[in-house]
Amino acid sequence: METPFIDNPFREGIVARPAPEPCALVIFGATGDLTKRKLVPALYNLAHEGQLPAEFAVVGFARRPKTDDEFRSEMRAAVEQFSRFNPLNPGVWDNFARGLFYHRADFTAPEGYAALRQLLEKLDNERGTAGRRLFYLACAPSEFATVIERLGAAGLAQRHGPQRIVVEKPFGSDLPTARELNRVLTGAFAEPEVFRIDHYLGKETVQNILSMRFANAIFEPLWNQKYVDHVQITVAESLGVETRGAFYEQAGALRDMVSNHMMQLLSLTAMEPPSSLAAEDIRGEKVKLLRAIRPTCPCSVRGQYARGTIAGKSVAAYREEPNVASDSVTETYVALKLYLDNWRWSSVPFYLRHGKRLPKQVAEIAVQFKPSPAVLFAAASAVPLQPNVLALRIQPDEGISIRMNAKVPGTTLNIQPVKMDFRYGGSFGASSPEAYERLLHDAIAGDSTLFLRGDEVECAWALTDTIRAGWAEKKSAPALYEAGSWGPREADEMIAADGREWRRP
Amino acid sequence: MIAVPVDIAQIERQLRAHWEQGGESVSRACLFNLVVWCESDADRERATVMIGELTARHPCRAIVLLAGPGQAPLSASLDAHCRLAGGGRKQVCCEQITVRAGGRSVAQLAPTALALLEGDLPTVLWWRGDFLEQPSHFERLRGIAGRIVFDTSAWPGAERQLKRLRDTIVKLPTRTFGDLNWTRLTLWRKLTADCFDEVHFRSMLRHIQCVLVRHGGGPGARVRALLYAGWLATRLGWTAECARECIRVEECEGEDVAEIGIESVELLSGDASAVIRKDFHGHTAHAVVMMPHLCGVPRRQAFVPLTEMALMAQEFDHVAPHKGYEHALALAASLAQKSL
Repeated sequence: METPFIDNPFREGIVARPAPEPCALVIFGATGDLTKRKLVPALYNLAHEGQLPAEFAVVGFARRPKTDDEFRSEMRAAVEQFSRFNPLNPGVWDNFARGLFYHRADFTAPEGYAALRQLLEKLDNERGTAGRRLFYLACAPSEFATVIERLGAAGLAQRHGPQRIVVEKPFGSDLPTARELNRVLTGAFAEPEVFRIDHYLGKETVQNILSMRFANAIFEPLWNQKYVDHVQITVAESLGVETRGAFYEQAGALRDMVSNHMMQLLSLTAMEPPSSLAAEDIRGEKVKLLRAIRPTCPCSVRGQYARGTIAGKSVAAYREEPNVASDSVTETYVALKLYLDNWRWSSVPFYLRHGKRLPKQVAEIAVQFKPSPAVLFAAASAVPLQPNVLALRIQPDEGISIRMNAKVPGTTLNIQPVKMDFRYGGSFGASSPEAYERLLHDAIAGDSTLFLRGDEVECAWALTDTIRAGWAEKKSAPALYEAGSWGPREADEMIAADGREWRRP
Repeated sequence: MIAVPVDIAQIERQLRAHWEQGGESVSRACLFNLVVWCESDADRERATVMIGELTARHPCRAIVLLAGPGQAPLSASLDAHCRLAGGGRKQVCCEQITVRAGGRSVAQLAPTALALLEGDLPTVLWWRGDFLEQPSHFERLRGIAGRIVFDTSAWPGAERQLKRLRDTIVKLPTRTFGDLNWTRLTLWRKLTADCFDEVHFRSMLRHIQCVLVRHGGGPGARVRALLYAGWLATRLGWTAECARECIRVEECEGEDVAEIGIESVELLSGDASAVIRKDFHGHTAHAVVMMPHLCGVPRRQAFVPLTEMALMAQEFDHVAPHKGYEHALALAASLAQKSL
């Protein structure tokens, strides 16, 4: 009976992940939309599913005056509206709400951080959080550096201590600002304690790219330059900039979407198999892939939406949107052609496009294979054989489809493309956890697999800076495209020059 | 959803015609076969309601077999379980085939089910009742399923059956078994594991002298407590003899004892203890480890009793064999013999 019990003997066979240790989550920007719509409902969902310790504490840090009870009451309304567990379970809520606190302070005032420290020490004693803190920057990016520096000055951040920090995108606005943010972050926290969140990585279907690639033996042997003709990654939005005109004027499509979400899709699609599912192995492979992007002059097209019609309704041009300059040259559409200089993808073009006010909301990755040898059916078929396409749909109608050729029933040899379709909604009907649930749980538990590493962010910015420099050199304005169309003519011409065309998702 | 009577020989043809009628607006989804054995019409009705809910997350072809009384000939009916998907644009449907038989025709249920299985998909057999009491029917059906799900909490006299159950499972090494009464212990086992994730607390495990599991009078509570105790003993590396000496499984007393499954567990060494207790009214469970000079961090987490349907959903979520069940069952059988 003198078993050493090096590992926990009771953990074997338990499917659920270990509950994280009690911890205090401090949300900077607690009165904002993100807290109300995403963060607190996601935390409640985790509590509902027994994935949070009951001693978990949340401290909302914001400027507006509010009591703990008022904060709890507002968060209850938010949970009732946005949680996927409806109606709210009073037992679970009461337990969860006992751990909700509000701390009124200005982000710039050192005394606010001293008082926060006192509150957190009190929680350490009362709730057993034992110095474990997770600071969540849900505030404006311009305030990141101030908050991080004040945390350090107040003794709330220690490198290699039990504290972690979650940063929402954007992680800078170009390579120099990203480096500066990384410098500030890693001055107060060690890199493994920094969790850069890109909610796209929390989506089940994005995570499923790896499962689809590496859990099915039939795809991986074809996943290379020998069989793949090209890859198209599309993230289309039918919405315009809505109320984000001022922000978008500064960001543009390239920085808002391509530098983060689309780089994630690209790296997960094209990376080499990691040696394990450990965070560093996966992130290491992603960075290797991003470093393989040919840096010299990627072909690019930028566009801006003009007036048009979407779903039968007339919509304004970008330059007519609120808080947008009437002579704005901000791009709302980007199309890129990239090459990856590595063994697997040598000479395979990757076409990426993202735009606002496109005909529909869709995100997909389409891998188009090389055509089959034209010796048997090509001559007999009335129309040219279509190449096989494997399409991974990220949203909506998440799923996978394969286009293949089949004989039309009848006495003649008529071959037509057919689509074999797998829909998540059709196979797994239940709702998936919100992306933020998975990401928050991982951050609390210290698992950084689905978060971006500093060098990954810098690689992505290096690429977008090169593209922007090319645009600045040309001094050309974005090509206009009609709202409700699939983008500017120049983008069609870019891909047509290679003898290919954009898919119509 | 109305069950449509159908000629058994025409079932597949009728199903094809039915789905073709739906056109583009209806998709049929099927990830596995679910064969359900029912012994009464009321039970079949309950199972049908649950299948309707379960197929929303776990689409399957459900084949419900009803062995009724009397000499009824073999008959069948079809149901469709549908829900809206794709933003309300499409209906996604699963099919349920119910086959009834009575008297001698009950023997035809198994071959009928075999012919109705969707090819190249795994098959789960959900036996709603005590399959040890139906050995001939069970023997015919067990061969078609890779996984067999049952619930010892619904077995009358299950405590006496534990050894037989274990012997049956051991004889079928190529099948995996899921006992919903074991699945009900998932949270208890998780909380137990949570207590000892901290390395300092693990040092007390070498010195545990006594384990006390207290349970109420709810359905299957006694067997569940025995399984839990058996699992604790196996994880601590105890022999059956040691387990019989050091483990007490007690029924607690009180007004609402009939509502209570497991009430608490205590792992005791000379000067240290780990206690997990359920607060029924607060819907929470509380776990704490107390050791000399070490501050135990109390844990409390939501404890929502799981319905039979939720338990089945868990069975379908985690198709891997239940690690530890077989060993826990062996020790539970040994502990049961001591108390009988």
